[in-house]
Amino acid sequence: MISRKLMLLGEIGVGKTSLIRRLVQGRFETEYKSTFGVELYRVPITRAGPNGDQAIELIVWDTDGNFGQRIFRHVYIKGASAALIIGDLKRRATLESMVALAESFQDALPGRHFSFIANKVDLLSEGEGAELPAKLREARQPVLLTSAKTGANVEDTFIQAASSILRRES
Amino acid sequence: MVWTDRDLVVCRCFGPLVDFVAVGRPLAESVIALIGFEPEIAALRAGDGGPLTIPNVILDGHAEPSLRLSLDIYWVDSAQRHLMLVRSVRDVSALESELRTQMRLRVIAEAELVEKSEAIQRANQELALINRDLEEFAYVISHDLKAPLRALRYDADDADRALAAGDVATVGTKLVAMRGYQARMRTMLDGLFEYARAGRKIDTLEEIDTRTLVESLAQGFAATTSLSIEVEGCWPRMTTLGPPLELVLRNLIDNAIKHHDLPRGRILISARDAGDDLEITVTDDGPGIPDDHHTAVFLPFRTVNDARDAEDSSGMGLALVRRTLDRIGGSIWLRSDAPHRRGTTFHVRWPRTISV
Repeated sequence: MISRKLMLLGEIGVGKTSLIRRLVQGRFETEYKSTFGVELYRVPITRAGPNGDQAIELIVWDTDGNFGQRIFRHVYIKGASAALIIGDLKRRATLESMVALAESFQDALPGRHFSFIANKVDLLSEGEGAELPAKLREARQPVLLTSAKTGANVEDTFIQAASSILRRES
Repeated sequence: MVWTDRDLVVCRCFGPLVDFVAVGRPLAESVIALIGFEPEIAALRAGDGGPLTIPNVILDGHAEPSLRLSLDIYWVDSAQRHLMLVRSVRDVSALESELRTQMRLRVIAEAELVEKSEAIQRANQELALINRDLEEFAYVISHDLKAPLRALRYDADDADRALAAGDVATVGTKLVAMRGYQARMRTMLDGLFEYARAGRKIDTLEEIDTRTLVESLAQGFAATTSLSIEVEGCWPRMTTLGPPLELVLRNLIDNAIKHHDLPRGRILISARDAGDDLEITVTDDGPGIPDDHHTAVFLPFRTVNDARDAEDSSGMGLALVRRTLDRIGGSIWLRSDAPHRRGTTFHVRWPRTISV
């Protein structure tokens, strides 16, 4: 099985750790605990392909949101195959910063896959649409709405990232 | 410490081996932080020997308690081996962790506060616009609609008197005039309705080729006028609100044609990049607009008096344009030096980024 590195990028408190913990532990912790440095997780994924099942192990790098743009000058970013760029639907500034993070990621690692994730969709009230900043809408990249609290779209998000890495390398 | 061969398979050399690796197995199997760093590790063999340092990393975020490490990887030429030194990094104490968490919660709370103040500011701006609308509507209802209503009443009284006197011809004339006032009021009410709608209607952002849009409008108008209509400048493709942009352009061109007083003339529609905005100008060589009308022309039912205004103009075109631009964060102003010089130029600032 091949192993590839997937970065979780985004501002402080957008739910990076909650998303990966929801995936690997199947639960949501209500107590907020900040990430210090980087924490790694293994996520094995099997994808059905035209030539049978394809297996990949994502090595997920859950980074400290404090890094901001400095992450792209840090050793942590080297060798990443993809990134999930995460924002908080209830904090517009974190959504706006996603575009700049994506641009820097593309500059640092040209051609690598990235996805935009707008997390905390559970905080929207019934009938309330996700209000995304114009910059993000104009980025011509779909924005996946997730909830680490309910688990909505979390697994799909990582499966999509794994599929994109496999497609790129096939 | 850990020794590996060139292929990063763990091997014995000397010194104590850390307990989480196994001899004969690839190092990256247990030290997953190395995955993706293969080129950097290979480069160590060609360079000065390193080290490649990966600081402050928890190898398994799932594990309790977590083990926080710093990794330094060298190429030892004399041994023809890679050496990885593993340093255990003091994990943050409970107090330090709590402090960091509180600091971050503060950062988040401050960011939320800024966003909430911005939302209040936006709501206040919206409220100011609504208040201005109310004032305008009150003014329109109390002044502009009153005039045809009053005329209607006078004509009805005249028709009554003429009927009592058996003057059928006058009754007929008054009835025709009354229908005219009724039609005028209907036009004004339709205009008001459209005006109100211009501020409330929600459009969706779409990819617009602004050149195609303006050229198709210019062609449409060219078929209805003897004036020449030219398009020039830099008209980009952009993600914007299509119908409101068309409304602005259509009304400005229509206004230039409607108020031109000569059979021959020129209307020039131009665009240029102005940073965050697209600046659109519509220039005509008509009679111009006197200075004291420069503000009033953007109010509902205001026209610069000329013979054609009474017939064709509802007086809502420029008001609609201004209201549309207000709603999307754009602006409009005009330059004209009538009666000293002919011609008027309307300048529009159309924001490139519109928040729907």
